[in-house]
Amino acid sequence: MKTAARRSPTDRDRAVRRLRTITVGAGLVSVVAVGGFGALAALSHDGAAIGVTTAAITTIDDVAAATQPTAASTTATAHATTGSS
Amino acid sequence: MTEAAPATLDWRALGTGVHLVVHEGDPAAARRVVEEVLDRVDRAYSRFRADSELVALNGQAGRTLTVSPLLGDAIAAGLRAAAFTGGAVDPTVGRAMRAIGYDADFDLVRNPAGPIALRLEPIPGWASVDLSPDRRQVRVRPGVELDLGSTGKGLAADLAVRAAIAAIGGLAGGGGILVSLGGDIAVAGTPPDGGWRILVAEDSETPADSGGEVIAIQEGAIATSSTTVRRWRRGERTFHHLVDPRTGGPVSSPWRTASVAAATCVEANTVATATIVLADKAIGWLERTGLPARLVSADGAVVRIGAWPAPADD
Repeated sequence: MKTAARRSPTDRDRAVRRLRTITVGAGLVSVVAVGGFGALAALSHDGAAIGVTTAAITTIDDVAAATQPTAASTTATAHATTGSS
Repeated sequence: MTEAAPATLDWRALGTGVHLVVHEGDPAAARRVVEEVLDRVDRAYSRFRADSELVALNGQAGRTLTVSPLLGDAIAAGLRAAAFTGGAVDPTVGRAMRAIGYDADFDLVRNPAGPIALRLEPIPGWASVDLSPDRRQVRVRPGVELDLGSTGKGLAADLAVRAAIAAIGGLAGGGGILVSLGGDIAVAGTPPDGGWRILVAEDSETPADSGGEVIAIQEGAIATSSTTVRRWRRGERTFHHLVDPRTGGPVSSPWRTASVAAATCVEANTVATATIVLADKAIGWLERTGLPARLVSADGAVVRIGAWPAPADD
């Protein structure tokens, strides 16, 4: 098993805020440049945080940091299974 | 006093399994609103019902149309995912999905069939979609078809959990909700003691009491993408549903499964899918997102990224 290096909580929070606040003005600045994916394009939408009909699901800056999973015992049945469908 | 076991309800919607867990709340009320949300989602952005808004939009490419707030928000989520992932997750994969044989509900697609004539090409890309700032006016370029599969299920889980927690008294009511749509999970409210225990598997149909790695979350979401489940054969060739935007065909990746924890399911869904598509660039990208993730390589090796915990010693 290999585990990659952990980020500090500050770095993690900063990265998560970047995920939520992609601002598009005259053009788009890609948050992460990935070789092989072009990703710079002018968009006519504002790229603001998602707001949906019933409530804001993803909001900016004031949302708590990404959830932190912890290891749990396997002796009790899980409430649900994550996997692909 | 021993805490009462949460109520669980299971049914199928959106072509996948729905698993609802209600902790100290009215399960019937929760199910009612979740069903309503999923019905609205189906009508808004299902690719497989002729009367969905998305199908109508795809059939009128080149025209500017007014869409419902829900579809507008769903398209915005898809475009934002594309922006964040540098196009690795992109909503303009509709034609590519049909080209590789995913042209109907997966229950129909999964059965082997004869060979198909492949014509693969790079997807148009998200710049071919114009969405107005108020998300109510949309124009897709002629020849472009939207498919919101990479973000739509996660968004639906987020919407459903918000509606369900409101239905049982809101955050102040003391109850908690877990909604799983095909293994993409969102939680809200007060969790059971010890948190929501989630079995980490490659197939969401794996029974929750199966052996394996179990993690717990207090809030937020977990989503898993995998090339191992949604697969189908056409002639001698096997396809899966994660498209490489650069080629229009199923991605070839060293990662067969990725599970990601995030504040919302749409974020977790986006990052999990992008991880597989990004292939050998995935780990560095994941580390920059700062999100906890668990990857399974093509040969079954497990890699944990960031704060994803090692298994508990039982």
